[in-house]
Amino acid sequence: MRHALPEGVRRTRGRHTLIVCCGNADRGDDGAGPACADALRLLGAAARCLPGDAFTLLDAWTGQPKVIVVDAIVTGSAAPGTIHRFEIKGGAGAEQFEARLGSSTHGFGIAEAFRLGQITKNVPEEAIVYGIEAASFEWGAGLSGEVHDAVQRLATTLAHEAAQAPRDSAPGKLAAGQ
Amino acid sequence: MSTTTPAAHGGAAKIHVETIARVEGEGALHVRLKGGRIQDLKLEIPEPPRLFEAFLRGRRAEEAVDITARICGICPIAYQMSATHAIERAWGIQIDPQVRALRRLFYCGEWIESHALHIYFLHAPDFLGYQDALQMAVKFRPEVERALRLKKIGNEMMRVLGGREIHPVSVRVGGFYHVPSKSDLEPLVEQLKWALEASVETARLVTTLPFPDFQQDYEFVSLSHPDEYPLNEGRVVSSRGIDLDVSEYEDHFLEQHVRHSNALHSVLRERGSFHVGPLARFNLNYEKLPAVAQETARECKLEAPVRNPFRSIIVRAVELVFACAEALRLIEQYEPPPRTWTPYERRAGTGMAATEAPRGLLYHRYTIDENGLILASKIVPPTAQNLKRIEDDLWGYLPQILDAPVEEITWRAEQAIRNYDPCISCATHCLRVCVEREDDIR
Repeated sequence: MRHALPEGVRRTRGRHTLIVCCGNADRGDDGAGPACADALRLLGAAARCLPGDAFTLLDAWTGQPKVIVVDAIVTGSAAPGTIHRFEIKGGAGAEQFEARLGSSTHGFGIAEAFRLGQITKNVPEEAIVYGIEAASFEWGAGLSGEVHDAVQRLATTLAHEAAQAPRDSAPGKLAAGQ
Repeated sequence: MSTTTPAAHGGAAKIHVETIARVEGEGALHVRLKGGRIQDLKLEIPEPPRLFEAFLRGRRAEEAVDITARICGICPIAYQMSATHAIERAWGIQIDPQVRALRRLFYCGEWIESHALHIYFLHAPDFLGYQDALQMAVKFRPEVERALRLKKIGNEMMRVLGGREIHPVSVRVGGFYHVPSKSDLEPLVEQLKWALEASVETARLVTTLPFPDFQQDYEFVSLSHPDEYPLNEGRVVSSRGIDLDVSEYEDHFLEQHVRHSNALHSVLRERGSFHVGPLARFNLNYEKLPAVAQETARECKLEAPVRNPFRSIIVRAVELVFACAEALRLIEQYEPPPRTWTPYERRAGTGMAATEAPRGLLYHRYTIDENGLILASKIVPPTAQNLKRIEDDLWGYLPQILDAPVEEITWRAEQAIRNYDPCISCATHCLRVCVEREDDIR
């Protein structure tokens, strides 16, 4: 369930790196994406919050050379709150992301968006997917403590790098497994 | 994901498909075969009840419009339409004709988005032998790009009219919070002209698919309006003579609890299962389709009544043609209403309404107290109405293919279920299929 009122969205295409945060705020740690978008906005950085289905992602990143995607993830092999980082160039590399993602709660999800984008030639030249290892997807539970802390770390880093970066460059990197 | 235990001669075979993709929600199909016959067949819905009817108790009636929209991300407009119409009936509100037309236009957007999704991404891969639309897209890239554009146009209509494409926020009891100007709608015209052509091409494409030879003697149920193809208004009619005001719906249609499903099964009293959705609408309302949709149906050799559920994919394409043509007509005739919503007084009463969601008839009833608070409500989504019918189809269809390898039986069973574009999220959420063979057929 999403917020009843649409957020103000700064639709910046072209030169800025698009940050897309995916998930459902009412489904436990699946709310990592929306929470990261909220945190980024408080830090003065623009972010779009999307449900995470392939179709809205494809639409959102059309014409965008650089995209950052934030979502909850379950690899089962890392502690809750671990931030996984996947670099995808021209759609290539989505396989390793897909393999570690497991199943998506968004139907045609992020991995499918990259695969479909590759086939239809609608994929960012450069994408970074940050997956925050989730602990629970229980309805109404809110974020677990570990995921909440990870969201704040990631948002702070992304906002800082967005502020530092030239207009036509991407926010910098967060170390894998941070 | 599926696992298969090959049948040993004289032994048993078991197929277990952990998830059926390409349906909305979670469910499971369990089939037990023995001696060349189906011993047991259950469409299990283990998803916990979602309890929306309970959430609504004590809430202001106006809130039902937005609360029930959250039942589904694919068809929120259907929920908004049925809810607002039911409450308007309870309070005797007459909406402005242009508001009515605008709601119809809004609904067309949802049909375009939902039908394009189902035809290309959910159902076509079954016919073409692909595990999913992504595999299909490699060979059918132009067609998949067409589907994406169609879907985007439907979403754009919902955004223009509803503020956003998923869970729109513009609809209110009595009308809209905000209505578009004529110039707001103008950019949609060129897009819809393209979509109309693309929809006709879609119908031509799906007509070439291989269809199993399977027909059923369904009782089709849909809304029917004297002048228009049904969307948000009409009497409830059936192919066996039912013709009633929606306020009489519960006198004839019954929801039953079955042990294996947390979604209720709808039946017609003393008659059993029935069929709602595109096939029912087409068969009961063919003459109300605009000329371009009728012409497309004729070109596709689609003649009402269509009784082969697999051919519903063609009917959906014809309904895509309808939705685009109807949207163009409505935009051409649109004048902003003098007031966006009709003022009203809250009062005690009960109101019922049904509208045609992309998957079929969606019934809502609300009993409201003198303060405008909801005392009781009932929501019957199309998938709940079709669940028993889907089981009955499988009882009829699977015997035709019992000689096939269990993998193919599983594939065909899933395809037959997707004839109904089931939204299990609405009815109660991936479907698991388990076929057990207790003999040596293969």
